Formats: sequence, structure tokens, C-alpha cells
Amino acid sequence: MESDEELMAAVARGEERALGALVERHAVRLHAFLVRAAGTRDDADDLLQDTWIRVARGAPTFDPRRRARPWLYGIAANLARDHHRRRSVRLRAAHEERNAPAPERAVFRPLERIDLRHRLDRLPDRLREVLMLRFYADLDEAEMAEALGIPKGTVKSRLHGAIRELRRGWEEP
Amino acid sequence: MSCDAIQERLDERALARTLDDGSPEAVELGAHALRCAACGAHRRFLVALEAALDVPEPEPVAAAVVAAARTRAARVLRSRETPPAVGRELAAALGVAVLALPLVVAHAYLVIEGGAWLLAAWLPAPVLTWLGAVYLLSLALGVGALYGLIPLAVAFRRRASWESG
Repeated sequence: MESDEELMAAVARGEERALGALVERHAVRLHAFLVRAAGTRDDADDLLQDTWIRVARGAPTFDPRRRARPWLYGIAANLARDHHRRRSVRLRAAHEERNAPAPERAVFRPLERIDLRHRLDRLPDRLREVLMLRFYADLDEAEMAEALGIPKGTVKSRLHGAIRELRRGWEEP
Repeated sequence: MSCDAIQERLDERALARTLDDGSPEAVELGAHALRCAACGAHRRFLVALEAALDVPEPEPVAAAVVAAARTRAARVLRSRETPPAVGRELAAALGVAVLALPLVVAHAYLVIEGGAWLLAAWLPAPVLTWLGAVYLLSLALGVGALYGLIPLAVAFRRRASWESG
């Protein structure tokens, strides 16, 4: 069986067969990651398509010395981040229209599972995406560093920063 | 080990989902968390965080979605091979724009001639000349800016259609 990196090299040469093989191999896991990162299946469906379009377009720039999986999840994470940002802006505008406190200004209730999920949604993008990649894409620190194009130490500090941020103001139920 | 170091280890294990894997380190950290209020609270938070993040695996993606993704990506792959016809598209847009140029020139001529005829009785010639020059310069800048936007508009349109696959 060809490795992901070999398939990526073939995609870079314009081989549709290789692209199809990559899609078949990764679409299910990638979609599961996107459902959790984007929040809804419909959004994840769209983001999945956009991810593969970007893969097809960006394949010639893929460095064959890199691993393909972090690169792939890096693209998906970027798209999910942009989507999350747009959705936050829309939600904030909707709240302001209704004269309700915006989510960022809302007072969090004591810890419940749902509250922690909400707080995760409201984490700064750079902190949120490392947790998503760690938990839902199962990337290790080195792979996350490759996916996001940042040093491994930065990944580590962001992971701990995300935990600190979520812990802040946390009350035991 | 200090409490800070212990909490950092607890973070690491939570991120690796090995908070409770029964390893000697996990047992040791758990024992410390039982004795220490701060580390105990931190560990309980991490357990709650793991539970919050532990959402069930979503339903597998529909085959039609995967097929659509493959088809659209393959189309992008094929379009990458054909040289972009940006020159032809740009030439067409500029051609249409150039067709409008005689109308602009005729309009400017009428405004200047008409203005000079109307205002000649009230304004001295140098003022009329200055007004005409300012008008022509403004018109030239406006038309230049408009025509300068054409390549940008063409590029924007191409990018949008490319991104939509």
C-alpha cells in the first residue's frame, strides 16, 4: 500500500487516482474531526469539500519530507478556525440584535459539562485549535507543530494555556 | 516535586488521556491529589474537561459527501493542468470598457464646450481654463481608477470561481 506521502507526491503530479485514494483513506476521520471542530454536520460537509479542494490545489507545494497527515489536518484546522470565527461574528451580531448579552460577556454558570463545552467554544482560536487537534485528530505535539507551522514548544505552551484558561473561574459542581 | 510540576504532569496525562491508566506515575499523582487540595481540585477539573471533550464519535460521513468532495477536488486538479486563460478574460473585460471610452470623451467635450459657452459672459478666460483643467483632471483620475480596477475585478472573479471548485 502506498504511503500518504507517496500519494501526495502523485497528487502533485496531477494523478486523480492518488487523490481518490487519499480521500477514501482520510475522509471519515477528517469529517469526524470537522464535525467536532465546526459544530454541525452540514458545516463539516462543506469544510470537508473545501479541505480536499485545497489539498488538490496545494499539492505541488507539499514538501515530500513532511508527513502528509499533519499537513492535511493543518488545512482542515485552518478552515475550521475561519469557520468558527465567522460563526462567532454571526452569533455576536444576532445577540446584539436581540439586545441580549453577547456570549463573551455572558456570566458562566458553575461547571456543568455543557458549560465547559461552551467555554471551549469561546477560547481564543490559537488555544482552541490545539485542543481540538489533540483530542479529536489525535495528533501528537510534533504533528501539531507541523500542522500549524509553529514550534513544538509553542504547541506545548498553547495546550497548557488552553487548560489554564478553561480552569480560570472554574467552580466544582 | 512541586505542586506546579505535579499539575503540569497531570495536564500532560489528561492531554494524552492517561490520567487514570493505572501506571505507577498515574497512581503516584493520584495519591498526591488526594492529599493536596489544590492538586486535587486541578485533577477533578481535568477529569471534567476530559468528560466534556469526550463527545461520542459522530456518524460516519455520507458516501455522497465523500464522492462530491472527490469530484470537486479532482476538477481542481484537472484545472490546475490547463494554463489559465486570464489574458483572454482580461482582454474581454478591457474591450468592453474601451467601448465606453468614446462616450466618456464625448460627454467631457460637451460639458467643457457647454460650460465655456454658458459661463464665458461671467468669468474671465483664465478661470474658465482652470475650471476646465480641474474637470478634465478629475475625470481622467476617475476613469483611470475605474479601469485600473478591471484587472482586480477579473482576478477576484477568477479566484471566487476557482475556490468554489
